[in-house]
Amino acid sequence: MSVSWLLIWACAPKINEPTIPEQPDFQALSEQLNEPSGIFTSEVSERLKDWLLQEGGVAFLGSSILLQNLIPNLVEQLSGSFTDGTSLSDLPLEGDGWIRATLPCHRTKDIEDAFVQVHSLYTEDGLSPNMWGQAQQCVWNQWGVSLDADLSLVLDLPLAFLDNAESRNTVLLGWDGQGSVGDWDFDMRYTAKLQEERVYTLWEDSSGSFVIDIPNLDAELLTDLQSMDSIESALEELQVLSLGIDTAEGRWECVLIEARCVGRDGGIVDEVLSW
Amino acid sequence: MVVWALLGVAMANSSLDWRNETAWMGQQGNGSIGIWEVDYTLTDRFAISVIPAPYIVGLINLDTRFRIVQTDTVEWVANVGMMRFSVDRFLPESMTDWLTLGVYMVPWSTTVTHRTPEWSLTAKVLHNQFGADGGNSQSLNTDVETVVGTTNTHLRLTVGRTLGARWSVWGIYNRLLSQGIVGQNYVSYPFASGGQVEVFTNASSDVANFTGNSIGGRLRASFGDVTVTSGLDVGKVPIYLVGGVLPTPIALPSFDVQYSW
Repeated sequence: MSVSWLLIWACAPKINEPTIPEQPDFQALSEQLNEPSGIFTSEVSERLKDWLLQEGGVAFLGSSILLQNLIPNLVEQLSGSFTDGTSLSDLPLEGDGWIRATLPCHRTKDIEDAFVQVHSLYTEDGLSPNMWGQAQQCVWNQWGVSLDADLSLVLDLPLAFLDNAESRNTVLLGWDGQGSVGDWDFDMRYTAKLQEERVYTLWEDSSGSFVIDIPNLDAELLTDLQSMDSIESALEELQVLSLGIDTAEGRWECVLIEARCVGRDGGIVDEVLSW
Repeated sequence: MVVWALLGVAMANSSLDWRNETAWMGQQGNGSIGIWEVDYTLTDRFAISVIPAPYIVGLINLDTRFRIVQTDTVEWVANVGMMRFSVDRFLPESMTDWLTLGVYMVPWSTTVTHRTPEWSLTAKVLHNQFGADGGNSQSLNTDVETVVGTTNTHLRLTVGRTLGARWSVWGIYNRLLSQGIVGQNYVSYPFASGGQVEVFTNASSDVANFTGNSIGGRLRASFGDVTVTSGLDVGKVPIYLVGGVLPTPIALPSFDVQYSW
């Protein structure tokens, strides 16, 4: 009997709507980046140095490259024309629903095998800038970066239908998976944001979370780091650069190779940490 | 009425066995052919029915009835059905290569009847989803699939009383519990540079949400194996097949002739 019922219900027309992946907690991601919980000490600075010289530094460089190159590239693709000449901003998004954008991310592989796929919800108020999905077997040879991971993005798209003012000038990127920069691989959960052309990275230590940035790491320096002979050289260079570390107690500025950090309160040095 | 009365005298066997309005479904091998429905009881617990194809060309439909409980005085059944009508055949061949269109209906109901030799008391909850679906795969290089329709849910109370051996008189109260509009839409837009954006829309509306009542009466007479039913509904009457209710009251006559075995 139940088989008959199932057969009849199966004949009822319905759209084969794929299941939308579970949405990440964007609020939590944003809070983690805005409210670091860790207290900075010389022991923590040692661990940070180790992290930056290994997988963390590779991911840091990878995220910097992705945020400064991939995101604009994604935006450019999403803002491009459809085959009928219209564009994303022309879509008649009415009612409630969601979109799924699938974009190529490999020069030689088919889009069925290698793609960036992001999902976003829309309501009567417009399309949300929160996007999530995955990068599958992506290789961007031009930047020397590969990624195969779940993705979380908050895009500051220059498109008229995006009306979430809070996200303006901020691009948030999170991934959970593996990738590589040059010959160095990483396999980790990673969260970063691009704000006013500076990359801020979440570093979660056993003592709490910290947000790391390199004030001088602009596009030009990033290009210099990418053009170095090896990733080891680029990571060594990170030690020479001044790091900004946001903690629960305030901001520190460190030069790891000098084993010296300066605590700043409103731009004034109020504490020095050496190890 | 005079003709009916004469027929009633001539032929016996009035009955409260009314498949459409009550939970009665007969025993294995019973069946009927009527203007609106053909039904057959496959087993003592399972019956099927269809709307006769000649009336609506191309209609594919099936309704199934399952007996849940049967005692000497109570019968409880559940129905679930499906109807699909492809309109492709009415479109030019140049369009049907890439365009499909159809209308459909998915009704389900559950019905309980308390029965004595003279009385039949029935309560039924009925839900219909009626709509249209279609899509194209080539127009403007996009894929489009759409399902739109209306849903309506009713509570229906029916009282039947025999008048002699052949006749029965019926009163029907129908309460529209809810009526709404549902829709699903899928469109894909390919980028000129590769890749695509797919848009999934789920919509529902309470635009058509209102409730309403109707009342009706029927007179049934069984002349041997033939049963004739006629009557009238007034008020916010469910429309045949669709089940939808118009916002303004109407009067809707009803007539049916069935041959049963």
